[in-house]
Amino acid sequence: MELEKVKGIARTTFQGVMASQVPMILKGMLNELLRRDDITFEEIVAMVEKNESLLPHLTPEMTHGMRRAAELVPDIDFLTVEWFIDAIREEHRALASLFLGWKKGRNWLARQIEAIKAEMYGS
Amino acid sequence: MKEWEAAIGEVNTNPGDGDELLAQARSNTRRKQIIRLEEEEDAAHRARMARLNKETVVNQNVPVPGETSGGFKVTGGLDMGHINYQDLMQQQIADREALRQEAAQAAANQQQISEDLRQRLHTSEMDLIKSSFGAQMQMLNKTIEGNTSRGSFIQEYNGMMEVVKALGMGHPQASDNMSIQLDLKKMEFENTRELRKMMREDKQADREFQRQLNRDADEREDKKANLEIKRAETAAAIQAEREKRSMWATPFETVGMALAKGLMDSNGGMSADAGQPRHKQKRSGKKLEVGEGESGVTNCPECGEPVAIAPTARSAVCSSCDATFPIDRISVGKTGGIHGA
Repeated sequence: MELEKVKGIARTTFQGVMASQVPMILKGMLNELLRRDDITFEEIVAMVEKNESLLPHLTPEMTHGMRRAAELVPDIDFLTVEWFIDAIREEHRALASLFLGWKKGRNWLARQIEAIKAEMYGS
Repeated sequence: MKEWEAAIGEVNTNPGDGDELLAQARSNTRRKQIIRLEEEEDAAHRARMARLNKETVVNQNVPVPGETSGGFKVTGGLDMGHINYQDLMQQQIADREALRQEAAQAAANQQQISEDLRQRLHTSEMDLIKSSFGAQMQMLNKTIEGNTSRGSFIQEYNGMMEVVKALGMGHPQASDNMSIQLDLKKMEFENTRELRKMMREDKQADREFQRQLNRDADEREDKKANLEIKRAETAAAIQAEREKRSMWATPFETVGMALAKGLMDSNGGMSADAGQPRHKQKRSGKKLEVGEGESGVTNCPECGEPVAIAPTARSAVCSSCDATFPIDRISVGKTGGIHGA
């Protein structure tokens, strides 16, 4: 009985910690993803020009991981264009500058974020 | 031995009878004498007849004394005998033909005898040559057997030449020429042997070179294969490491990594409240000149950090110092790049 309580407290604590740290976690994930796949300025420009969706480029593992993250963190309203730009500002300055100065790029990024949210929550 | 055999010094071996031939020859001679006598008698008869005709003509032209010039007539006849010249001629021709045939027959017989004698003489000479040649060959064989395998070819040749000289068949000049020719042949042989040796060495060198090339090629292939294997192993290791580190394949591990990364970056105060830009954009007095439709990354004129210029953007914002730069679009090719102004 006590063990179950301890487990419940730990789960709640973990969820609280995760919920409070999700923006930082996602920031790290995002920068790592951009660095690992070596996504360049030209590739982003091409995708924006073609209005190409990001979802087909996500692997099933990535989609699965996002859904699991959504189970842990039900509220991801913080995930906006501004948050995205601010998250990559330090490590990917050129990409951040691109979205800052290009309205078309910002609109495209907003569409992709909404599509990812919809994918995560199945809406 | 008969008389004519004694005259020529040999015995007749002809199957024909020599006495009969001799008798025929004598008969022919006698017949020729008879023919000659008949011809002489014929000539004398013709001379006598000519003289008689001439005397008759002279007597007719001499005038008789007391006879008038009116001429006279002589009558009577002269029996000159019966002479058949045609039969005589035919007989003589027949005799001549017969004698000619006899003479031809005798000549043929003599020719046969002569041929027979010549054949015998030739046979005797051939026997003599054979005997002499056999003796020389026997002597030569003995000499060759005595000189067999005593040295080199030159020594054997010299021995042969001595034998030939001993036999009286050698000629000094020919011997000298033969020596020179032999030297020339020897030089030619040496030259040919050297050339063949050089060709063999060349071929061997070529084969060795080709073999070395093949070895080098094999080594290169081996190195290449090893490099390919190492590269594949490295790629496999990288892929394995990448999969191992995949944040999406191993959610908890990746979440931990991301957590650590996020905690390290927490100095910037990244939180869910970061929905608004932290820095207010400030407009810079500097402008960027860019060609129509061009895009790229340049350094910020203010802080030197990368600034992106989108293809259709009218301004560029530095994500580091938040400076905003207006973009002047100019015709393509006029400036050839992105320039700060």
